[in-house]
Amino acid sequence: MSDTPKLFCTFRLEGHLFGVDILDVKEVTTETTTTRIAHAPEEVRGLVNIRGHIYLALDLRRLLGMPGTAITGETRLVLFKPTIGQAFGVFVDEISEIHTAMSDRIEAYSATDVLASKLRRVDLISAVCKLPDELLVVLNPRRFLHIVEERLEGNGE
Amino acid sequence: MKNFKLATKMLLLSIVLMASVLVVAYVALDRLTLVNAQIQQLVNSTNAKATQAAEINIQFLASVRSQKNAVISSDDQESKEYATASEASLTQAQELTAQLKQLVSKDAIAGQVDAVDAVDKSLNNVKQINADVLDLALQNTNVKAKRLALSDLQRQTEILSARFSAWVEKTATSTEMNADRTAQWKALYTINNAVSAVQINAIKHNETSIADEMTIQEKTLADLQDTIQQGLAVASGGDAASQIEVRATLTDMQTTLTKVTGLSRLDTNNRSAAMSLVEAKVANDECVKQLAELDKLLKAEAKAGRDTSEAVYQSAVWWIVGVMLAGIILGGVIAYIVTQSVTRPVAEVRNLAQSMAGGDLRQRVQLKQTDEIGELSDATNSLADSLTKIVTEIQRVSEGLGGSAADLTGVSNQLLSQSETASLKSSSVASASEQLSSNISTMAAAAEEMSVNVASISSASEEMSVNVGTISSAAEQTSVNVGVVSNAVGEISNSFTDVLSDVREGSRIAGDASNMADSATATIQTLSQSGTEISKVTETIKMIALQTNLLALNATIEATSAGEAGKGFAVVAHEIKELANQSAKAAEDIARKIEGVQNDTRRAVQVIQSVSQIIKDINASSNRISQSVEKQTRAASMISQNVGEANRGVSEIARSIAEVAKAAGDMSRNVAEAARGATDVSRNVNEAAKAAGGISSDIHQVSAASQSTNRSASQVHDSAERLDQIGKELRKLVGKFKVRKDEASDE
Repeated sequence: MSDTPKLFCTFRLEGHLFGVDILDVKEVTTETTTTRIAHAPEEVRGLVNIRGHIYLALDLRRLLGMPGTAITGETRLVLFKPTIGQAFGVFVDEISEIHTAMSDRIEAYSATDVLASKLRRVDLISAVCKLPDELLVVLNPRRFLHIVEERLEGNGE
Repeated sequence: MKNFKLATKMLLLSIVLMASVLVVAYVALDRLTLVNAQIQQLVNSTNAKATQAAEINIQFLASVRSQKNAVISSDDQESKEYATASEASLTQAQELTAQLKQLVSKDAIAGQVDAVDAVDKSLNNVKQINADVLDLALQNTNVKAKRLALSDLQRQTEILSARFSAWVEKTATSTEMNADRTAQWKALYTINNAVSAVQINAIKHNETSIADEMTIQEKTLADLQDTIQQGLAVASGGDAASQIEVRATLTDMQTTLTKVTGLSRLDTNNRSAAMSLVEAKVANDECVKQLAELDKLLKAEAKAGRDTSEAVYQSAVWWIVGVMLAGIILGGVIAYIVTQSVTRPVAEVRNLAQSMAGGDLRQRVQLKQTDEIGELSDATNSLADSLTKIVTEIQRVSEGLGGSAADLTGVSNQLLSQSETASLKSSSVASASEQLSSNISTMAAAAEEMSVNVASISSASEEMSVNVGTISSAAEQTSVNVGVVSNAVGEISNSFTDVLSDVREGSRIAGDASNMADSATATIQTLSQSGTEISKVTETIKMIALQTNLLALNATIEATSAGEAGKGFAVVAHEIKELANQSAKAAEDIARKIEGVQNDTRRAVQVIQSVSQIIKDINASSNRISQSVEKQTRAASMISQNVGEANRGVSEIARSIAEVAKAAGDMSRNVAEAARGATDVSRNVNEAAKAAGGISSDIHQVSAASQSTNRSASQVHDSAERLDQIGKELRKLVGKFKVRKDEASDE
């Protein structure tokens, strides 16, 4: 284990703090205008045009099994790097800060965690980070597109 | 060239270097082969020839030495051996010469063939002479003669000497001395000498080679023999027996001498020696000369060969050095070009990175190459571009923030000045209302006084009414009373005038207060409007702060992705984020304070509206008082008229008594009315006083609210200034990055 602190780009969903590794994030934008894709599953909000590039926008609440919500002034689109998946991003309720956590504060996720009951897809969570006043659930963005794919396959069968 | 990959460049360089090494090696090999050929030539041909020549020389000299030995040697066997050796050596020399001739004719070097031919010829000559010399030397006649002379002749001489000694002893035994004996001695001496001389002359004969001298020696020998023959008889002293023996010995000697002289006459040894010394020497010298000539030629060839080798070696050295120099220069040039093509763009990229680190983002690297460095420079350019984009965005936002802050400052200044105006106005309203209050108080006092006067009028009129029946008895009293009445009426009239003027003053002040209250209301409404505007501005600021926050977040993400290189920028991004958060907080602070201002404003508007209402009430009361007083004034005038009439026509009192009574009744009524009016006035005045007190307290509330507004406005102003400061800081922070081409470089 190295001693370099890990940086997490954190955001809130239903008031809970979630985060992804900052090295996975490409950009955070305020762009929320989406173009719906016909017959797309509910996890897919549609396509977004960011400075001429088209990204697939997913609804992270839906991905995590939470009820959907309307776009507000605080809604942000977190775009991921091409190494995570082909041109996509997720909508979050509210962007929080960049949290720095030493490795001894990060624990690999176990299914008995309190938040587990709220989360439909347990394998989306890669770790839990103990911040001084709350828990930060670290998500694995590489799984996001897989879930959509699985859903599409499920519909096809 | 510059578009090749680094590996290709290195490969090219290596190929060029290897090629030059190969060329150097090839040239060196070629030159070395030349040198080698030269040396081989030297060793195989020249050296062989020289060795051959030396061998010839050695063989020739051995032959000469053997020849000399053969000549000198006295032993036949030995001479023969030497002669054979000499012949063999010469034959060997000739064979060697033949071989040399082959070698020479193969090389075909001018002069050498001739020289070898000469040597061959001289060798043949030498061989011929040598054969002659050896032939002679083998005969060895002189030696044989000498041997005979030394053995046989010696023995015979010794025999003779022994005989002669016997003869001498025989003679010596006889003591007699006579002529015979003397002659005998003489003869003995002579023949003894002759015998000794024979051997000597025989050897001399043998030693000489000159024929004349030989003849002389032969003659001497014959003479000596004759001398011995003649002296014999005398010397023997008559000893016949010994004479016979001597004669036999002499005959032997004669034989021996004949042999010796015969052999000596042949003189082979001397002749061979002479030949060896003269003819053979000439031939030998010739041969030696020819050999020396050949040696000289061979040496010249060797020297030429050495010179050629030296020249070839020198040229090889120059070739190798030249080719090496050419290779080094070529390799150096190519290495320089390759190094340049690598280091120059790298230096440019490094300069760009340094200027980026220094905050100058306008620089770009202009490299038109597609290798790794070209990619690096493109990546650096795009990094600079994205940084420029981010910084430009932040600049734009911070400029917007600055503009908003300036707007906010302007609006808050306006708010401050307006709230100050409102405060000022409410203060003047307060002083006006105080003035109003005091006027009303004065008015109340006047009304009180009026009331008292009216009461006294009332009592007087009642008294007058009582006393009207007893006018006769009280005519003087009437006059007095009328005077009193006249005075009282005058006083009332005065009082009413006072009251009227006070009431008008009060009305005017109330009007002023009303106007001021309206003006204050208008000001406060403007204030409320300014507050709403500020709310809009703070909304904009919040929005900008939000965007800046997002930008800073993205900048942090970019900086973290950049790793170690982005750490500096991450710090800047964090600063910007902090400033954005502070901006948002300041904007919220302002919004909260504006909310307070607006609450205060609403309260002030309410209070001012109630003040306005009260002033209107006071105005109404004042108007009513004014009306009452006017009415009373009219009544008082009437009283005054009546009193004048009373004064003028006491005589008409009787007639007028009814009128007086009626007038008194009227007066009483009027006075009652006046009393009622005075009471009304008093009540109204009190009401007015109460209202004025209410106004005063309200006005104080307004004033307090205005003060509070003023304070809030000051805080807003402070917040706005702080926001402006933050905006400036942000601009300064972002200003460290130079992004536009037209910016002066020292900025």
